[in-house]
Amino acid sequence: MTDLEYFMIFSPTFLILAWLNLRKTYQLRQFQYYMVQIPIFVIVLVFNFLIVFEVPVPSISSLLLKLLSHFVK
Amino acid sequence: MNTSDSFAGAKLPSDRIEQNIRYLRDLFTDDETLIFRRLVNEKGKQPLRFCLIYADGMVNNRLINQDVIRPVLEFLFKPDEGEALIDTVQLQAMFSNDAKKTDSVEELIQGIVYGDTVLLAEGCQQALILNTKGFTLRSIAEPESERVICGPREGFNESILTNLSLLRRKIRTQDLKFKFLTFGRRTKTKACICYMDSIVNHNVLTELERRLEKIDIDGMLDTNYITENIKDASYSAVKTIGTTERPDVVAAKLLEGRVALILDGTPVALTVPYLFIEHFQADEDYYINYVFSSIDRVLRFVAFMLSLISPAVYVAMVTFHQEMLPTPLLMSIFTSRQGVPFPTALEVTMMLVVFEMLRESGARMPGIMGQTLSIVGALVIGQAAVDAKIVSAPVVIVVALTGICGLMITRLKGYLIIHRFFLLLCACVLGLYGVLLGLLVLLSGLFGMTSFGIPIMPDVYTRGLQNYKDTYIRAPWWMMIKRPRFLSGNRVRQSGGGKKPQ
Amino acid sequence: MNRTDISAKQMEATVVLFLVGSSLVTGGSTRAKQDTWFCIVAAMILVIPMVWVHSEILNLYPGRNYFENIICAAGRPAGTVICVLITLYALVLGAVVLRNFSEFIHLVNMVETPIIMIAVSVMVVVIYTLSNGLYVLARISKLMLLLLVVSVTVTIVLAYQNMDASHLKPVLQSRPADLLRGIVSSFSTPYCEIILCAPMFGAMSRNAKIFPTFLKGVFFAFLILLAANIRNTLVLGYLDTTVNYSSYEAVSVIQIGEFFTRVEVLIGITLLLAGFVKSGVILFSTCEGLRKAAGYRDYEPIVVPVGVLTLTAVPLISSNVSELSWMIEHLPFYALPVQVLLPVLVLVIGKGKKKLKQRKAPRQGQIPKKTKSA
Repeated sequence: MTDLEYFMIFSPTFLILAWLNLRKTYQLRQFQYYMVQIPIFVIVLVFNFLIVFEVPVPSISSLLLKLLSHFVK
Repeated sequence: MNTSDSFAGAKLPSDRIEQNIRYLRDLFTDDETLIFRRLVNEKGKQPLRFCLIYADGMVNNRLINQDVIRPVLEFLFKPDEGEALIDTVQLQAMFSNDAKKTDSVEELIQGIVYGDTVLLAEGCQQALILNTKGFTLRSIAEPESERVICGPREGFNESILTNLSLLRRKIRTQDLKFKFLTFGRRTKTKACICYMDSIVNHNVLTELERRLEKIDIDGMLDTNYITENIKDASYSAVKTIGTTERPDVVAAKLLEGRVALILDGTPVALTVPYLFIEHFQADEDYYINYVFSSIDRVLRFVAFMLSLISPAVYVAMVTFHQEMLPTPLLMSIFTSRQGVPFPTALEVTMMLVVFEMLRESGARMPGIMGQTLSIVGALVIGQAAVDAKIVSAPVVIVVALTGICGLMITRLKGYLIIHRFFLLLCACVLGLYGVLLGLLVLLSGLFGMTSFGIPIMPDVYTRGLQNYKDTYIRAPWWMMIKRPRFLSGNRVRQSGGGKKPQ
Repeated sequence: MNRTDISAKQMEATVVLFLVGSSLVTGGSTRAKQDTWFCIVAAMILVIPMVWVHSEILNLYPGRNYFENIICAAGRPAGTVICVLITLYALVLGAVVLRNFSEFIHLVNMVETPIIMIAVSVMVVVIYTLSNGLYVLARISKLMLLLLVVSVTVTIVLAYQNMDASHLKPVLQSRPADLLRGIVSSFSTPYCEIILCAPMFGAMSRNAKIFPTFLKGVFFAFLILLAANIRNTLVLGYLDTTVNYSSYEAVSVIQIGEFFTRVEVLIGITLLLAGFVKSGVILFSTCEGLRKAAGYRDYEPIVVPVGVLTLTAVPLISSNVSELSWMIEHLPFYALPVQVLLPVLVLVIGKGKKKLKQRKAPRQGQIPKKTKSA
């Protein structure tokens, strides 16, 4: 899976869902939810940029592998 | 509400008849159907002047002549009655069965425009409204869209009183309640809520009344105006308010604890709440043998599923999962697709759109032209398109199957059209998995939907077999001893105890 | 009865579909090879106490809110840490399940479709369903359970002629170390994932008991998994462990006459449904945990952010398929502390607190015992 494909598939979905979600919170005037929604969306955007630009992000499996090797030693 | 035709609280200006006549004439300027008929009664010592006002064409002329003009002209009034003259007319002279005394201009206007006659008397500020309605109506006939082969053939017509009388004849009990409402600022259309007091689900009733009160609309011409204003999920294509044109259907639903709404000027009555399973119930099911009607009902389910998923499954199989088709079938589809320039999805979409166009244009064609159209459609589009290699033959078969199955259940027409294309889109994206995901989306939408607080899918309240006696199959009448729990407050339908009649 | 309540039968169906979720397609084979059926049986017996633990935690305080009970039992700071750990586990598991599922569809059926496409499609449907409420998921599960059972039965019946009883032999001759490894593996995946099922029970109707419902669901799932595993072993034999997706391979051997040669569509359908329900339940648990940690009243506005976060985690789980296999094989060891230790700890503390409270209460005013006479 090339990263351009990833970008083309993920970004419209993400943008539409994020827009609908934020707009609903705004319409219902429940601004306390923004405190969780906006940081999560920012984190998602950051990680997606990292994936799309092929920055070598350590995958979760490799993180767990390192954790295991600490304990095994 | 400040509109030009709101006369709340206005009263007739004086007790001088000429002033009242001039006032009413000014209200109805440029309305030349209004007749002002003056009468003078000289039987007594003093000449008494009256005036009849009515709208020509809305009244029964014979009734006015014999039961209004004649008694007024021939009655011997006591002299010097003054204000009590109108009471005398109402209580002693008039032959009319419905005479109301009022001085409210609003009521007078409503009476005149609906076919009543207004009687003004000299020296009285109050007027009489007499029931002389005589407009022509369509006769009672079987509705075109809800035919039965065996069963009652009555259908509602456009007058609310006729419709209520049809209903009353079926349910002869004082338990049947009628509550009147008015809709529409300019049309002031009358509507009536009907329900059986001891059986109805009162939550639904209060919810319905609450929603109806909020309607603020210019003109109310058909029940669909009401439907769209009070629906549960306003944007959804799922039908949550039932419509019918037959009084026996309405009576049956009232006996189950539902509420009916009848509107003047349209033969379509509304029933709430409306469950998903009712799409598949036809009125005839109860008039013929239960085995046949159960088979019919199962057929309708199958037809619904086929009509919904056939195009999508065909596209998915042929595009993504060719290996799932048996080899001979695959070969024949392959050979028939030789030379067709379009991808399968586009073929199917084109044919579906053409089919919908044919159906829609055929629906409004008078008589012979409709038949010509169907021949043209079948021959030209079906055969010639295949011969010209624009579409392949299996696609025509699939679309024809879809269309015919879809026509079997007319109530789900709108739902089917939209969701068929949705599932087709899902199939183009992910094949059979896409179809499944699309079906899951549809199911989620259906399961989450309510009709006036009651969930529309039958799976919800599952305890007790009695709740299922009328869903996928129809059990014989002697088995249906209880009403479905969620629909009504009163559960016991009949006291036979469910024993076979012997 | 509130219309958004979930009945006991619907909850059972959801639990069954949740547990069957990913295991139905991977086959759940372990190092014990042909004795995996024994591992599954042993794991089932071992999970019964865990079901009891979760039911007791749910019953600790009225209201039956799993995370709230944890916080009340273990105190604010420790409880919140435990909740956050469970939520993180749910997030990772959700991503693993979605990745596994997408890899399967990608490898088997649709090689040109990118994995993220499948994951996005499933996640969007799951988000839509959860936005309508959890009870929608439960009702869909109940409707689909019949389909699942019929599908598994049909595949077993049709595979009858390809089965070879000698594939089960030698019975129970594996090394004890392998057996133990197999039991631990089966115990953790999928049985101990019921920790993520527990928050759902807060939405169940009040007059239904938790422990019988939970147990019935787990037992039914056990039956289905056992049947699927035995079918795979009988049909494939030694290949069972080398092949990545054994259920799929087992079913692809089935052939009815000349006509229906590829019956995998049945497996595909059940896989999709079970995977959908599993993703839905995991997403719900993650949202519930996050909601409790943030102190909100309703989880609905958070469903989309958490869903999108899970979607982002899907490609981050592993960079390639071999890492994914490693992950799936070794996940039990990382998950066991969260799945077993934490709930047991919480229960012990919770029960201890309750006993202390009960011992203190009689001192504050003597309640006369003769209040209700005959």
